[in-house]
Amino acid sequence: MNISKIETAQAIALLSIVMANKIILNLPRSIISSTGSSAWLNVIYIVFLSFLFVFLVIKLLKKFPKMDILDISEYLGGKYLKAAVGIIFIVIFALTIGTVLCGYSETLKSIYFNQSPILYILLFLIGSACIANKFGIKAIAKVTTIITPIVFFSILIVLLTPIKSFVIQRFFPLLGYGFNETFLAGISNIFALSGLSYILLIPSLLKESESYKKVAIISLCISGFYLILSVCCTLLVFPFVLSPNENLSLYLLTKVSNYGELIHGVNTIFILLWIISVIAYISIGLFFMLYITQKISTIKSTILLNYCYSLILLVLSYVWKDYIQLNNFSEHTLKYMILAFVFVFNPFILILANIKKRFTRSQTTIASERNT
Amino acid sequence: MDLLFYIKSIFSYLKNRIQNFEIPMCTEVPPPNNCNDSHNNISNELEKISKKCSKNLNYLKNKYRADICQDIMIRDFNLHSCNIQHHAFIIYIDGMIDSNLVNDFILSPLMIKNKSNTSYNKKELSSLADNIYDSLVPQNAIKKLYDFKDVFSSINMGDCVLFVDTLDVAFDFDVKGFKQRNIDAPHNEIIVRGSQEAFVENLRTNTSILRRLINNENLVIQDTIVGKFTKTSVAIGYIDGIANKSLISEVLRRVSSLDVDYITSSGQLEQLIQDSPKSIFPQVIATERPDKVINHLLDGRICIIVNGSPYVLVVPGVFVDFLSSPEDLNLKYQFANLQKLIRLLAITLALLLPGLYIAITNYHQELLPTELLFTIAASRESVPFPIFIEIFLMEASFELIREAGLRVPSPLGSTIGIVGALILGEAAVSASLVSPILIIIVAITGLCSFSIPDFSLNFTFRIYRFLYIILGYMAGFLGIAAGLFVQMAIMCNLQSFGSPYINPFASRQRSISNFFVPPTWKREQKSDFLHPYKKNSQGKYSMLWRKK
Repeated sequence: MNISKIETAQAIALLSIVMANKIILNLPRSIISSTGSSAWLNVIYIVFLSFLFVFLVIKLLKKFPKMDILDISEYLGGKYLKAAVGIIFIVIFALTIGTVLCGYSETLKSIYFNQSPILYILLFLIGSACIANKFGIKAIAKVTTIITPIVFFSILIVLLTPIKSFVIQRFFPLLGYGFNETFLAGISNIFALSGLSYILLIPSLLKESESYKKVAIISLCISGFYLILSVCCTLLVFPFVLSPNENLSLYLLTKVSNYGELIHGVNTIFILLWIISVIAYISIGLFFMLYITQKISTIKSTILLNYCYSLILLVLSYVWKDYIQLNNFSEHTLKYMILAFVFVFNPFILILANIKKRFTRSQTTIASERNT
Repeated sequence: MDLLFYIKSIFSYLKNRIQNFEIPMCTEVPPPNNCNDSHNNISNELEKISKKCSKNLNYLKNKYRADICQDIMIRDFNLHSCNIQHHAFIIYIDGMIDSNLVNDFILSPLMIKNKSNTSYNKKELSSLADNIYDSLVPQNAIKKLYDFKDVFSSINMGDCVLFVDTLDVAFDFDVKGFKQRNIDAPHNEIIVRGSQEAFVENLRTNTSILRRLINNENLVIQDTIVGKFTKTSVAIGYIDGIANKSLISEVLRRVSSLDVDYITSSGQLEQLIQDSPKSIFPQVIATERPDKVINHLLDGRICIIVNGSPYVLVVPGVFVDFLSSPEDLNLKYQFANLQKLIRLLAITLALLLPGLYIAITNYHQELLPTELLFTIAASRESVPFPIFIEIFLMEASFELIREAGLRVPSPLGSTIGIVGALILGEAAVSASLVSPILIIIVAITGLCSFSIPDFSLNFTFRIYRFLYIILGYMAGFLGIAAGLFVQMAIMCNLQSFGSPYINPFASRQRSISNFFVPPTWKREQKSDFLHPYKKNSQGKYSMLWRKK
């Protein structure tokens, strides 16, 4: 695998596209169904919490320039901790991609490929990601940089076009299902920004390590803005009590939009763009799985591993009986796994590593003072 | 006997006389040149020129097979120097030299007694070679040769070489006079506003065009030889002080480290020096236009001229270069950018239109207005084939017409058009083999593909177009999206001489390598991906007359 450093803009695009895919999928509707009309407040709240998380990570990584969470784990607990953290990351990435792929292919099947088996759709998505991974992160990052503005522009059009259908009253009651659902139980909706886990792995890939802060904040700003906008627009268009069967929230919005008499079926064009965006997301996820494996092991070539992981992703996305089973797993198991690992376990490692660093430094200073 | 054969041929069956020739397998590799001379037994290869004129003569006769090669001309004569006669001979290839030059400025001064070759001087007597070089031959381009390798090279290039008895040095006279094509208008890169001269096959003519147009002493043209057998002259040109030194070294390294027997065109060299030879994307610019080469040289790129090829290579070549026309820089930036936008649309359609058509009609019918959908359905009603076969047939036919159009002699060119338009267009629709809408789709695709300025990129997109047809048929927009992603990844992974293939897309600076051409007065910077030594090509205020 070709591991080369990526530029600041490319890193921002990578992180943004990872988080944008959650918006394209059913996330806005899922947030609305758990919090009701207060979804917009909840989403602002979780974006605020994400900013706190990002600032904390930046602060904690300051003493470890050019080091990612795996290097820091090694520093803290040796090879075993590094391997353990790495494996958890791989498992989480694989499960997340698996669920995203399953949800997305189910949606595509219901819209366009009623006659085709879901495996057929999956093969296209995973196959292209697998091929892209043969060219390494540089190529993937460049493609992502090209497509990210187009994808975000398309999302913006989709979100703002049904402006005539917006009903401001749908923001009320302000606290939706209640204070608890909005601000306490609603914290779990930070899962929407679980793409932040990639922020912990990106420092070692950056060409300019000092731009890490910029990368983390800008990518969170972009995805936070789009998350808030998508939740607000979905809430303003559809009553929160409705829970439609469509998996793609944005696709729902395109259906209520009117683009004039001349333009027909624009949603298909958006679907084309979002397929590219999903492939980019799978490619990035697959790359990080390979990258972590390479870091925690002595494997030099990842060509075979690329095929193996692609196969695993295929199995993980094909294993679900139906969308309800997938949704249950995603909402009740995977969500909390990710929350615990990304937002609790990783900061904990970073804090311990900082304490160790401070302790080691103070010991070194005492020893040098004694020597003098 | 003849009569018997005649009778037999009339009244009886005669077996056909079949030529039973087969090329035998070579069991031994013969030496590159048979030097077994029956008269002089010169079996060893000579490296250095011998002092014995006869030995040199026999060696050259053997090497050039002078007994069977009628165009190898050897002229024995007696040379006068310091009033002493010396046996000498000249050797050249008939048709490659100017006979008048040889007669008037080589043979006449050496053979005819005159003041300069009869005057006696002790000093001159001691150095015959210097006397010939300095006094006897009034030639501007004369070189002393010591090795036979150089002698062969000079003779093969159209020079005349003089050997003199008692001298272990030969004299090379540049008296080339072979017929060559005159500088003509470009045939394949036609533009309205711009220079109307093109490169020719002769290397020196091409270098002289560049010298004349650049008009700067910093233009460096470095010669090298490629091909062990053909020893093809290759010139590498760059502007010292602009082009990056590492880039120059890399080009020289690649060109000079080729282990090939022959190079006959720049197309062959291009394939041997590009970064990813297996990639179908062109990575080296090939042009017949000197103005295009000059623009690139001034931007910090390097040109490679191959003797015998009217196409000059320019490296590095990035994707945007293959979408640009030489005319873009000569037009007002608004016109040029409009043209570029049209070209971009054309390229997108040439690549995706048949694939999109197949995807929309098979999977995404909601994209079409209902009336159009009905029209398509009605037009396809009598067509017996599935849409994939239909489009594949038409595309293949179109490619056949294009290929045939290129290969047939020009007087028959119009016939191909008639056959294509009438038989494949009208007749196929009348016979209900294809639908009329498909004809429109294929025609638009063909028209768009002609808008791609680069010949090689046209090929690339033709191959990709077939892939998109297959992908569109297999999975509609899903297949096309997957294909687009992989294609973009392939393109992003490519490099040309260290420059990322799609780099200028991300560039914000004002250079000629951007997709959109900046106004002439704002082309301040040279392309940054080339890392030239001279960063700017004009001052901050290029139009000083406007500055108060």
